[in-house]
Amino acid sequence: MSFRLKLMLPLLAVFTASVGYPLLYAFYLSLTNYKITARYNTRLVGLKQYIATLQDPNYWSALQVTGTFVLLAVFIEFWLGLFIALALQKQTRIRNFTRSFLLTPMFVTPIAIGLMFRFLLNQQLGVIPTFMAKFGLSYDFFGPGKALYSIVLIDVWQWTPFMVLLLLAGLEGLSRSPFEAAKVDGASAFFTFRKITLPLLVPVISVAVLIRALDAMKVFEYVFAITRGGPAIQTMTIQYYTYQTGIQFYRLGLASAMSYLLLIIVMVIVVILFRRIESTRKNP
Amino acid sequence: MASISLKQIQKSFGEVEVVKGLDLEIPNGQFTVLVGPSGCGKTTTLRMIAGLETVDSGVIQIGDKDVTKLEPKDRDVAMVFQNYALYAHLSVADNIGFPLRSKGVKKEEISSRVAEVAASLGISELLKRKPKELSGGQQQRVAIGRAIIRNPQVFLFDEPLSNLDAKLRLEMRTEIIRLQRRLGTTAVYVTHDQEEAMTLSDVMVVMKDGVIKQLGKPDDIYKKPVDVFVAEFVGSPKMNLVKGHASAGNFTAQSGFQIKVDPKLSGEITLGIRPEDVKITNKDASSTQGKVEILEQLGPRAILTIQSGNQQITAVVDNENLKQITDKTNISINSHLEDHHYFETSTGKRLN
Repeated sequence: MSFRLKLMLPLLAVFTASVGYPLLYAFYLSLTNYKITARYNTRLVGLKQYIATLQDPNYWSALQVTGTFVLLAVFIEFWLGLFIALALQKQTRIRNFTRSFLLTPMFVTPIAIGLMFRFLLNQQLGVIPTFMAKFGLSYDFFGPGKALYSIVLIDVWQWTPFMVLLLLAGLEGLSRSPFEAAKVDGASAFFTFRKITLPLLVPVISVAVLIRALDAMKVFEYVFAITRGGPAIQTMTIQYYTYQTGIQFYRLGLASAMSYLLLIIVMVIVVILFRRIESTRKNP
Repeated sequence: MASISLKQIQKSFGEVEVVKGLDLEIPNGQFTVLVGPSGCGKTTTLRMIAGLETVDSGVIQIGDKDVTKLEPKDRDVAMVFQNYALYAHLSVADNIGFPLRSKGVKKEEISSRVAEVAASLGISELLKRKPKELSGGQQQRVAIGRAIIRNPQVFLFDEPLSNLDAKLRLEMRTEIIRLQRRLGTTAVYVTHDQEEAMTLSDVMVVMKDGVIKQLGKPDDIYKKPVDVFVAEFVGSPKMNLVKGHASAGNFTAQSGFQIKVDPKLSGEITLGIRPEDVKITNKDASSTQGKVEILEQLGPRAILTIQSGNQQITAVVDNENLKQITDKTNISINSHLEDHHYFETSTGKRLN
């Protein structure tokens, strides 16, 4: 065995034990009828769990909820983040302070953020509804038809700084000279932004949006801490639904099948996006 | 077309004052070159004319208009940058057409103007390409195309040739002169290369440490540099400058080197002789003896580095006058009094 392969062995061993084994075992589970409450009757059932998942209207609803959440959250985070990044780029004084201050939401664990907003936005005791009531406004943040948007806002609150960080790094990495040329060429600020800043920033934007979208797809803590999927199933995201099936209802076989289906969907999206990123990198 | 007038322009970056109360009149339709060593404030001056740097104090006028506080886009200037500053994601055609597009000119008009400009620069076949698919010279042509397309009042060039190889640099130099003559647009050009400045300029402005040392026609500056700095900066190889003492028509350098000078001079002076004014003669009373240390052949001419006592003298000699001279040959040198440049040693100012 060559020296290079020997050097790789420890990593391979750790990787196999910590990632490979759980992945394969989950795949095995997804092909069985495994339930924690009846685990002595476990047997292989082929693709039955996959078929059951695909026929489950709640799974499709959860996918739709997650999709809506991801699209809305990432869309707002991107535009808001870009706006803040552009503003911060122009900042001359106390730059480092603003930058670190802005990043603080990212340092807090999402479950704590979830709990925090659960109280802040609670209709009876929350600070924000109480404050709004003083102006005669009444809004149930976690009521029917509103809860999902409130969760989007929480995600925006916590993760916009991440967008800012990546986009700011991207902006500062751009060469100054095309922008100076554009100034002399008579382009307005908006024209420069549309025709120069955005196109030049596309590689960074793709990566930032991709990372954030994958991360947002995993949304679980806010739902767990605040709505538990409700009202009804309006905030039942795919991760929470899978958790409920596997951990609360003990149907690990079915939950594994759900996870694998999600994995396939995500992989398809990622591959498509990566191809696009690569092609824009080659032909900016 | 317009003249440019800079009045008492001052600019500092933090503690460092880079331009110190500069007064400069740039004539209408002429090619003005700002030249000087790095850090002399020439690029900052150009960028202030463009509006890319603010002015700490002073007034900038283009034509009759005070543009001191105006944005670059409102000054009607076009600039060519050292690193081309092309829009990497746009095609050549879109790069050239950008200034018109940003002004909202109609598409058909833009494409006909782009085609016209591209043809005049010989880059018509490159219009569909992206900048990174072009050579340095082609990129610079595109940048020039982008500058000329909207007929600005003023062209600004910020060391546009310094990223090109030597051969291309000469080619583009000629092309820029031809272009400027044809369009008759006022041009301000910044370079650190004195040769480029000499060949391009109608008016040459030599700068150092944020002030103008000398301004005039390149030939006048070459023949009568106002001080030691300009004398040494302009011309290649550099002017020989020898510090020493003059009395009764005899000059004695600190190194012991002796030569006849203008008898009216006395005291501590710096003698300047251009390498091409150093003549090789027969040994006689007025000549100085030396030995050829290094002989560099340039084809029609040769550069001789001559050691005379402790003094090193550079001479440029036509090949036909070289005759038997090779390395290590002992020779006699001389120079005409009217070719001498005299400077006061303490201040560096010209005396004659």
